[in-house]
Amino acid sequence: MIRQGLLVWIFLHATLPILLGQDYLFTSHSLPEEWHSARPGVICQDRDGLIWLGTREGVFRYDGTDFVHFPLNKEGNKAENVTALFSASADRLWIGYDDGRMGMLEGSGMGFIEEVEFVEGGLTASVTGFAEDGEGRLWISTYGQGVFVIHQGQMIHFENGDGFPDNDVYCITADETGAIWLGTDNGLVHCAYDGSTKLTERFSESDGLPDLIVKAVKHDRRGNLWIGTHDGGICRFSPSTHDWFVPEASWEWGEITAIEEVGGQVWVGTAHEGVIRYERATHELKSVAYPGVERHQKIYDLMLDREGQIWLLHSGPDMLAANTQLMYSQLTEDGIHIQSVLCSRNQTYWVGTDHGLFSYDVHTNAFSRQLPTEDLHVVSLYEDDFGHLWIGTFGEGVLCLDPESGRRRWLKESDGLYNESVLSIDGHNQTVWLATLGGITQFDLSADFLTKGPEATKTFRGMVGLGSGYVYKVFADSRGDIWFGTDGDGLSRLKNDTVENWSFAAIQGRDGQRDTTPIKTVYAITEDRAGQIWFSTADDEVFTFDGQAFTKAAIKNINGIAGLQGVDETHLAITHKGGLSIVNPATGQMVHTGSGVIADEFAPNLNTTSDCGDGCVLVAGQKQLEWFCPLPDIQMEPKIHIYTVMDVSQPIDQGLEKQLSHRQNDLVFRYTGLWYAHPESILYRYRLKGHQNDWIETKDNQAVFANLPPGAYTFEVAATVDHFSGNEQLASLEVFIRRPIWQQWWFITIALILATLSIYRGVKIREKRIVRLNRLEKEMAESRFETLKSQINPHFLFNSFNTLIAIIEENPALAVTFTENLSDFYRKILVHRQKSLIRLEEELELVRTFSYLLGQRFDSNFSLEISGDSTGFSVAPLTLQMLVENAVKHNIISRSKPLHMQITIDRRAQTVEVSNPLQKKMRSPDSTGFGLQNIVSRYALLHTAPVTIIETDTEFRVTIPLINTPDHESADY
Amino acid sequence: MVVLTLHVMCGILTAQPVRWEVKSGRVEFVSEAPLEIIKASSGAIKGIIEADSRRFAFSVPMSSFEGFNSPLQREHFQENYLEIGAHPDATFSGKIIEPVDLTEPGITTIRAKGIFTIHGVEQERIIRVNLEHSDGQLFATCSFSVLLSEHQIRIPRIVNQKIAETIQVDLRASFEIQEE
Repeated sequence: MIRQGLLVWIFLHATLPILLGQDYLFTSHSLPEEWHSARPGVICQDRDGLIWLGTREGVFRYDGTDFVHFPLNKEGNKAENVTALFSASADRLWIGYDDGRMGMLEGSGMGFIEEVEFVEGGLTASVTGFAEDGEGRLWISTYGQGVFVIHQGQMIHFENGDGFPDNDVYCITADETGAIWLGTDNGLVHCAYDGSTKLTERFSESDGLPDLIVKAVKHDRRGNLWIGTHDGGICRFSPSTHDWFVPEASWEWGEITAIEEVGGQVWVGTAHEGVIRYERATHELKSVAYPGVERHQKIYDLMLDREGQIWLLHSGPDMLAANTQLMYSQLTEDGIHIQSVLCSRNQTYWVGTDHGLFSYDVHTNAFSRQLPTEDLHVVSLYEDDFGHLWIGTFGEGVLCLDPESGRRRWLKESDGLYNESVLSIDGHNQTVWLATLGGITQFDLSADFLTKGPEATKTFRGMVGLGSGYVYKVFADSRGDIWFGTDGDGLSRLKNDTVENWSFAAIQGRDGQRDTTPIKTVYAITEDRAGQIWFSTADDEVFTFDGQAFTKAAIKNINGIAGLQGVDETHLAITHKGGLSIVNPATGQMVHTGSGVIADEFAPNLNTTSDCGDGCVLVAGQKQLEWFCPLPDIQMEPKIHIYTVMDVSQPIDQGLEKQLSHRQNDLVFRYTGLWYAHPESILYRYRLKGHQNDWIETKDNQAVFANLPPGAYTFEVAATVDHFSGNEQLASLEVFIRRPIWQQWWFITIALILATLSIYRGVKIREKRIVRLNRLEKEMAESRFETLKSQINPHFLFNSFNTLIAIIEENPALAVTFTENLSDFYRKILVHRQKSLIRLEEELELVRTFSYLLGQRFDSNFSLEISGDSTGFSVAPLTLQMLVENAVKHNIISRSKPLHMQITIDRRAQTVEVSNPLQKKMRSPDSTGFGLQNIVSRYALLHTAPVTIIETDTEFRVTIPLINTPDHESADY
Repeated sequence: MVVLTLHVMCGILTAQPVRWEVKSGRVEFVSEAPLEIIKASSGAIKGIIEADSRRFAFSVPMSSFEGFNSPLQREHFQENYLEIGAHPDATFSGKIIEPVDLTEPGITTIRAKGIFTIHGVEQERIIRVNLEHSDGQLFATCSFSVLLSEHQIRIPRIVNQKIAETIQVDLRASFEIQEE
């Protein structure tokens, strides 16, 4: 037990530190086993946030989980020692190799690097770097061949001789203004090209360089250049004012290989001594401890990524990355737990534990015990306006201490303290409020209160809003209002000597209605840089107060919230069971930084956050301290990047504007959330607008959509490390699946036009045919009429009856036969005249009957001879009969001049010929000339070969074309 | 190889160049292994420095090293480890970083950057050298270390307690202006 009178105030430095000094927490990233010998030598991050590594065996893309190898040219080979990588504008990545080759990668979707040859035959010297100047021109530095700039497609060469000091160029960079700077054996060199003149400006030791050999150059946000040399350490150079600055601390770490400016520090990679950190605030140079390696490490490259992580490429088997915004210190002794922390105004860090008080010495990077007792249970710490430390204990009151003089004074119940368990202390100007297990005591201070004792001016207990008197947190805001976090009675504010209490907060209800929720036990209170009050409850709810009302903050999935601390405009720290989370008060975006150096729970106690005033906050878990110093413009959430869309396994060409055919409708979207700090905790959500509009949450880095109907879709994906607030940045990709060809409007139009045309044509043809048929019908009708007319020709009947009379008595039997034939003839005519075509046999049958009738009349003076095979042909009905009749009508038939007619069928020519010797009657019977004309026009309508009529002096011959009759069909038309 | 380099240099040289040539010199190396210290040295160093261009070239035949703790050791060193049959010389040629005037008397420290070749394996080295110019003579001293693994000089496992991984080299040389 500590007895006031027995204490001797000696500042003891513990011999064995139980708290280790500040360190960064490095995570290791390793190439897959098969690429183990590749060893990364250069690193860069492209504009999409992807990290690229140049190794002895080519280029790799790394997204936090997967390494993808990119060979030079399609074939690739293992001897690709990459010595330079540069992410240029226009989504281009430039790659330089040690044999002088250069490659370019456009976009990030292609499978290999395309070799680029600027100079005929290429370079031979190793490419050491690329830079883009203010005009967007590419500069290339080499080790042995000087520097090149590509000006309007031409390669302009800077080399030794024309004012350029040295062909061995170690590094190249463009400063904030786009000016080009080089590190050489002959100093720092500025190069420019105006289209006609090469300008070279050299800076050497006489200008202020600590060493002539410049091995690394980078610019910072202020436009300065940070320079790492071979022997002389680092320096800073301002290109605008030509001011040089060399840190006073002597450089003992030899050759520098890489340099990177990070917020208030400069990280320096060396050839043999690992990483050295220069702190601008203290001007100190410190070696950075990183795990898993022996001393004397070569650093190949350093890079600050967009998340604020610094990447170390070293000679060890892996790559290391550390969040430069976070430093850790670890409690090494068991049984001791951190209860409270305080950053004092002179940059001393105080740590109160359940076994005494410790402080951290920035210069020795070590913690030491500050009170000669281990039994002091320090639960609260406060530094007052006079720089005195107030040490609140559990059960033993408050110890006030002047760290300068070592003077101290205990405050007990006898001094007006309500209770000797002091849970929280805060103050404003010269007034201090102490929250105890009994109530609140207000002390007014004077400069000499350590000797006289402070005046307990006011006590607060049993008042409305302060409940039982248990107060967990007292907080003085920037306006001088004092806030109290009570046990079960909500939040109270002391303003103008009156206490106001809130035990309900407004919340936004589900349906947009405003609702209220009770506020009970309040653990932590803070103020953000906008002056807004934040507080958290024992139920892990966080509320904000804008001066008027309380609103529930959209903070979810955090358990065991113990501390809140405003850091700057965009950062508010929350400590909880799982570690430290950072919230952007403006957007509600939150990022979890992990549980720190100890794998166990962070599990912080109350009073373990403190504002250090220099842009940093100090927070503590039970066994570790964590300093959070946010860098400006640091990515606060995973960056989402869509790699590609694939049709099952076939990558779809990026250039096709995502116009897909209807068969490419099984789509796989590949994406990645870039969060190198904790790639394993990435969570995605995606949707395909036009197909499925609800978000789907997943840990998978691809989304599959099968059998999509044609249409326009927008794929959207977001990534987070914790939960989705709705403010995440979205990546989107539009795809359009075309309709199949038969569903395309143009196809349908053409098809419709074609259909219309063919219908129109069909109608036209039909019309024509109808016209033709009508004509045929008419011709036939005329023919039938003429035939009838001719057959009832009185001459024929008269002649036939005369023949009948002549034979009826002599030969009644013949008369019967004759009459039968006559009747048969007329019956056939009646049958056949209706048709447009009859079989040739039928026609010949008719002609034979007719010939018999004529034969009876003219005895042997008329004869008809039919020759040839008649099967399989058709003719227009009554054609041959009409020709025979015509011949009888127009020719003399007598004993002296008998008429011998011939009907000849020519199968080959497919004709039938009717011929008779020409022995015209002197007086021709009245001829209409209809018969022949009728035959000719009927055949014309039947589309056959023409009917030919040949009349010579001796012969009359008509050739009728024959029409083929299909075997099984009747000739009926 | 060095002779060739010298010839090339002669070709480059223009009106009355000042060239310093090694008149006498000694290279000594020390291997301080846990079980044994081995020392050897050679006086057969040749080399020149050209004052205008500040370029230099040095060469020493590895067979000229004397010392060692036994003749057998010398044989092992030269034939098995350094393979002097294939790689007879150690050479160092390059340029002086600092813009010193080698024709002016004085004492200065410079850095010589060049290609150091031993065992046929080239390494770029920057070596710090003390120069003293007085009485028409130039004196150079330097010491540096050679990492055996960097030059692919393989020492059998059984003797690696007797031969250090890093060999310390000391060089002293005096130069005179070369007469045409």
